[in-house]
This record gives sequence, structure tokens and C-alpha cells, in this order.
Amino acid sequence: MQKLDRLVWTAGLSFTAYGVRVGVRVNRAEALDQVRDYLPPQWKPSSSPMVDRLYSLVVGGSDSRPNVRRFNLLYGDAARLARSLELESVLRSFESDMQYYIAEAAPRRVFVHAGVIGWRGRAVLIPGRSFSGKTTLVAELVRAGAVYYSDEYAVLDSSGRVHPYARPLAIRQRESTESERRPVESLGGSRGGQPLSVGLVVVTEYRSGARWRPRWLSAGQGALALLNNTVSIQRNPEAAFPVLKRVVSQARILKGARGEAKSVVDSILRSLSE
Amino acid sequence: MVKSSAQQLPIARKEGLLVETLPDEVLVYDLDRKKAHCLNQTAALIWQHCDGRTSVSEIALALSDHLNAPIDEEVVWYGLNHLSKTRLLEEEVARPGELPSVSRRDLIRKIGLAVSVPLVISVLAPQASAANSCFGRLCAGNPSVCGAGCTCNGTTCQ
Repeated sequence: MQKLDRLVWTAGLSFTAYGVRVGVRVNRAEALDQVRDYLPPQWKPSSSPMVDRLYSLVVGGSDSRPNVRRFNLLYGDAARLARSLELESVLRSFESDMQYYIAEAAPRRVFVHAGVIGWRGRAVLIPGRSFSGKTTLVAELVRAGAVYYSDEYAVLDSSGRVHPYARPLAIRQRESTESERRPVESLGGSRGGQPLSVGLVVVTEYRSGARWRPRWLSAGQGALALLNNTVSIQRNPEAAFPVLKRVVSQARILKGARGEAKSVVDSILRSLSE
Repeated sequence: MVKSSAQQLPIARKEGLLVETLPDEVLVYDLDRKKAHCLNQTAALIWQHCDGRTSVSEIALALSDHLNAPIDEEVVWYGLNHLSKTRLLEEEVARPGELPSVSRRDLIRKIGLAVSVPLVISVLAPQASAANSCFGRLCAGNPSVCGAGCTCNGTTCQ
């Protein structure tokens, strides 16, 4: 860390998000604007010099010598996290690591890897791992009039209500691992601001050609499905476990494989209204 | 030598567990093994009666009272077997030799649909990284970091 500290840092910022304090310093002031695009939703600038995690971004680029390019480097505290000639790739690593850090360390929130929408004052949670089709389904629900809350995390408070984590949606192209960031407004939707109680948990994943024939699960089975996607469950089960119980105590749980997202939207929204 | 039903007094484990009660189920998180369990109503009742003073036949009677349906010892033994396998009992219990082991199907046939067969569903708590999006995670040429469905492009998961 001392070696890093000796480098020349021309700009920096510190912020808090969900109760976690994060600092970022850069060797070129203009890079800070790009860094801001990758900060988590609901970040607030902080004046405190004390942070829980410090990121150091060394912007490379062209060298004074001909045909020589310097790598862009990213450090999280003292550990090197990324090294690439492409600054965007390094910034994505920054975003991923920071999200992950905040999700695990947030002191008063439980982060469940899930898509979330609001519908008539209640929330639908769609827990699932990467590539299960959460974002696609969330986008389709938003196109049908639902309010956007998140395509990445259900952020739960101690009473089991879900708060927005409304970053731009990371929509993957079919048959591709690359994703494109799209603000919810480009889908004709809007983002939610108020915490909502959870009315429905949909445990589903995309399966080509699958017919939507969901079944109801018990509250306990729903809790296990949420737990299986809870970021901080191993680190802080004493806080997370009761919150999951509160969520399933007030929600119904639906499970089934789905085909195209469009074909299940009506059924999901109807299930919430029933 | 295996003790008889009357001699076996199962004890529910209490240490190192977080317990949450739902209307018809009990959720248990095992802090040592980082595993969560969901006990259905019958399994939960059996577990709650494992106090080290109540025999298997007495548990069967208590269940009959609670569920308002005849429950015999086989149901209790089936539940105890599940609870024991999931380490929710202090000590393993052994079904007495005179009682044949029964399958779930046999049990359903025997007790009908009035009462559910004791059932414990378990899930291993995920590592924080597994419960996160893999996209952008650093893999440095080690694709196993990315997890199922994600690939490593040399430096980050996609």
C-alpha cells in the first residue's frame, strides 16, 4: 500500500452507498468523470477521509516513447484487481468489485441477487444467478407498465421491504455474453423511489421452448430460494436470515421454468394481483 | 446393540443454529455447516418434541394429538432419520431392528394425505461471489472463478 501511496494522485472522491464508505483516487483528474458513470445507484458524496475500501486507478494510455502504451491498472486497497489496455474493461472491473463489496458489507441492508419491479404498490422479486434471464424478464415487465427497481439486487431492509437499486439495465444480446447498458427510460419505463413490501417471489429461469406452468411453493421453500442468492448469508447470517423470513411471510412464491419473457408477463402480474 | 423405541430419547440440537418459525414450517440455519433447512410441519413437530425426555412412541402420540390424525412410530422414525442426516439432532438415532425401514412412497400409502410425510429440504449457503453477477468479475485466466454460464476472457468474466 505504501508503494501505491507514493504515486502521484491528482484527484479523488469519496462516497457512501448503503452505509458503506468507498474512496477512489486517480492519477489523471479527467478520469474521475468516467469513474462517476460506474458508481452505484444512490451514492452520496462524502467528506470523510476514512473509507472502508479504497480504489486506486492508474490510467495508462500512450507513452512519450513511440509505439508504447501503458496499461490501465486498478487496485482495491493494496491488491491489484485489473490490468488492461482498455480503460473501459478496467472500469467494469471496478464496478463489479465495488458492487460486490457493498452488497456483502452493507450494514443495514440485505442484498439478494435478483431482479425487482413494482406493480400497484407491491414488489415482485426474481432471484437468480447470472444468465438465468432476470434482466430480460425485468425489461419485459417494465415494458408492460411495471416500475423498475433493479435488474441486479433486491436491497432489503430489516422489515423485509425492498429498496431501489435502479442502475441502467444490463441487457445481453441473444447468444452473446456482451451486455449493453440501457437506462430504463429508453424502455418507456420509470424507476421506483419508495421502498415496497414484497408481494410475489418468482423463482424462474429461461429455458428454450419451455412452457410456463408454474406452481406455488411454500414460504419456507421460498426462503431457501432467496437464501441461495443472498450475498451476505455466509458473512452475516444473523442479520440476513430473519429478513428473508419476513419477506416470505408476506409474499407468495411462484416457481417454474419459462420460455420467452413476453409470454409470462401477464401471468406474473396477474399472480401478484390475485 | 440398537436400543428399542422406548429407550431412545432423541435430543434436538440447539447450539450453532438460527431458527425462524413460519406458520406451517420451521427454517433453520446451521452456522457451523453454513446450511439452511426447511422443516415441514410434521418434521418441525417431531424436532420440537426431541427434548431428551420424550420417547419415540410418545412423540407419535403427541403428533397424533396435534395433527388430529393417527400417527404411528414409523412416521416419527422417518422424520428422525431426516433430522439426524441433516445434523439437527444431538446424537444419531437408530431405528430398532424390529421395525422395517420404509420408503417415502410406503409412508404416503400408509398415512394417506391427511398428514404430510416429514420432510427436510436443505440448501448450502452460497459464497458471496456465487450469489453475485459474474459479469466483470476478475478471473485472470482462471475460468472457474466465473462460475456456471460465464466465461473468462483472459482478465474478466463475461
